[in-house]
Amino acid sequence: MSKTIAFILAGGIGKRLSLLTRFRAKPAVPFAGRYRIIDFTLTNCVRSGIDEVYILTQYISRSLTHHLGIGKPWDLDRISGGLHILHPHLGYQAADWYQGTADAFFQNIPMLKDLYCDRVLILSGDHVYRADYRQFIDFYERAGKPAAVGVVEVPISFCQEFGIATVDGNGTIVKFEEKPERSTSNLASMGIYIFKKDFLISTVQKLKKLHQDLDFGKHIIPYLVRRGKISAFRFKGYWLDIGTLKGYYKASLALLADKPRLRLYESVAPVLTVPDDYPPLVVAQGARIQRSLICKGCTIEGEVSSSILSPGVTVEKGARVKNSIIFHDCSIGKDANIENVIIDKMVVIGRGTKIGFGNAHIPSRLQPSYIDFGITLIGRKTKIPPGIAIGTNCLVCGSREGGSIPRKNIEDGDYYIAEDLQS
Amino acid sequence: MILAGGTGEELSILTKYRAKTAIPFGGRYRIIDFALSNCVHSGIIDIAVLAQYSPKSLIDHIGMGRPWDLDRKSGGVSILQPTHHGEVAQWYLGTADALYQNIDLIRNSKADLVLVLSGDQVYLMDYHELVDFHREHGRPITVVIKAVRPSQRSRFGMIRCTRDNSVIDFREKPKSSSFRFASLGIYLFNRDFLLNALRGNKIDIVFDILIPHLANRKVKCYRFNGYWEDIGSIPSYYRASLRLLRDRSLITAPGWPIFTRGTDLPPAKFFQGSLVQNSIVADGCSVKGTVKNSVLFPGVRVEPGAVIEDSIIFSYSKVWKGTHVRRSIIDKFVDVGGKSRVGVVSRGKPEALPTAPDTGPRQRTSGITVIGKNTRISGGADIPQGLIVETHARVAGRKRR
Repeated sequence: MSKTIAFILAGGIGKRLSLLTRFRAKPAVPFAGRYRIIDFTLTNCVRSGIDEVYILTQYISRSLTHHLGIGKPWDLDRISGGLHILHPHLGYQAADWYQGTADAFFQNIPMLKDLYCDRVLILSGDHVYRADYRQFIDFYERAGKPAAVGVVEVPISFCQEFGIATVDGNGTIVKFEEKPERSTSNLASMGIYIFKKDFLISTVQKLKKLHQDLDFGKHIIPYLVRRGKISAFRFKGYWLDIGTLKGYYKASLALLADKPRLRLYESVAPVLTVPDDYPPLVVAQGARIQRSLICKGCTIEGEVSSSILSPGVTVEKGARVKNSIIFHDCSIGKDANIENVIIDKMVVIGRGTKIGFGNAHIPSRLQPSYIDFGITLIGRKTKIPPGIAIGTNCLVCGSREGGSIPRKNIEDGDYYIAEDLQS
Repeated sequence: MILAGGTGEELSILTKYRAKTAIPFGGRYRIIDFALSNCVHSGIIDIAVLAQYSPKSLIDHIGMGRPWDLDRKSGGVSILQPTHHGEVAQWYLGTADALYQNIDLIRNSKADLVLVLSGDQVYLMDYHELVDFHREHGRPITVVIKAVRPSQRSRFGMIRCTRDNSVIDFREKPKSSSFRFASLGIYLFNRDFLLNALRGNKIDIVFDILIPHLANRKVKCYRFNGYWEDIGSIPSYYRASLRLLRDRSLITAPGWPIFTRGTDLPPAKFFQGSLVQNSIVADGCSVKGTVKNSVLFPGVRVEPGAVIEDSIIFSYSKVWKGTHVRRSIIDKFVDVGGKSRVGVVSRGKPEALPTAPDTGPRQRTSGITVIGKNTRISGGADIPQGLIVETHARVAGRKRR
């Protein structure tokens, strides 16, 4: 019998998501209101009949491990198989942080050897897409190489953000370029792989001697391409790697289209996630909602347009929310006016505040490379005092305990980060 | 012990395929969630649900009790249906008989008190206080009571009590009554007393246990002042549902969430041009039309130009373009074709429609229109007010300009 086990890489720091990953791992960042990013990959696994999943974590894994629990929402609380979280650990052989994506495997080789399976499917916890991995596995079996990588067509202008594969007529990769300036191919590696188990172990062991920070994209794939041992599976659906804050914001708001490319509604098989006990959404008399996704537990008395609200958000009378993403349990005070803002969990916005208006051409002084596209980001548990104005491209975060920020306007591109969070 | 075996005849087709206690309520709950959540919040984690009528939906809903954290090694929730006991084999004949048929469970329990609840009521109650009251008064039975208006008294068991909270008279559903207090069907018994009292063909808790023990003052009454509604009929279901739009405290009480089985549906999606006012909208709904003063359960679709007013729509039903729904209850998986009218006109040709056998004079449903589960209504159909349309029916439409 041939069996596939999945490994999900969920240890990345996700620095380019700015404050959103200040308190959580990237796979645990909320997406589409009620989901966490990792839900999409986990759902793909169980819908593809993979019932043994190992998750490699490392960076602030508390919220991620809390979310995953014993895997119940994905029916992965099983006696045989099921969900397992692999933290970096001390041991007879391994005793270090994971220093690269493939190094995480190196450090778990003793366990890997004991697993009963033929194939290892390596996935990322940072991707949003819906896929049936059985197609990938079928392709891999037919292609007859010991490894395969999933690739997706991207516009040529985006090639420099990905690893780009050139394939021959049989699907074997003949050339692999990491973030090329220009390329004749537009097949980007999705960072998902299938390996024959024994082959994975021997390759990782061999290359670890050469590279301490052993990485799939940087070391293993080029090595296999040189030897003609890896083929490329073309994935045809919607696929998104949550890389930058801008990409996250744009992909989120794209869900508001009448027919978005990511299928959440039409599908008979919903994305699986942790259930909660919020009461259903209440829309009050006088509220206005247009083009928005709004979760349970929300109470809307004001105006919401082109926005995504996670569970438990309150929008009071006269408040206006536009082009914004608001995470769990926030409250937007009376007559507050909010546009182009991403608000993390449990934030309290005082009445009459005005946030997100200004000159989008002034980038953030603190993180100019991530925050330069006309949004303001408010960190978890921040309290915004009433009446103040916060411009655009701002970063605002109160103290860890949920302190209020000073009652002072914040100009475009400026920031306020509480002392205990500065590093 | 939660009594959940009633047939709920007055709820007509809403209980054709489900137990009364499993009727959807408040946008995401089932009625029994209130009794179960009250128990769990009150620290009662050893629960039996006594079911016998159409229990499938109830069993599906409760499962192992996980949503209430009742999937426990010790205690937890079990669903008890009538079974063969050697020579005895019969349905639960009444409330006391249902307890008697499960007397082993009561006898083997280490608890010294037995709380008997009804699974078809919505209210928030901390049973701790009831237990304290019961222990303080030292009598074997405590019933929970509430003051009700004279016009309502014929629906209840009415109680007369003394100043020291002893029950001295009990009249079941009197035509009219001067007694102010109604029994809510919530009883707390000393276990040993109950074991004795159940002996010898006892059928009904009220007639066979409560009333016989009034004379020796064994029954105390505990007064409950909060909101409480018994979901016994279509008008009471409709009233309690729409009341949530005015007063949400039943589902938003701090520290007292109502636990229920969750869905995996995406958030509610509101399209350009939608208008929603004073309504509850559950996950997975997709709203393009107008919704006013209504409750939408998960996965409901409201297409452009459709208008839903003062209505309750159960999971996954679809209301197509230009349809008007007013003062109606639409069960699950119903498809209401475009340009139809449901509950809008007061007169029509009911004989041409697949009405439920118990669809009666208009006052039976107080003019509320009810559409049964899985029914398909073709475009342009007209379903007059107060009608009950069968489950799994086909309603022909007509072309409408």
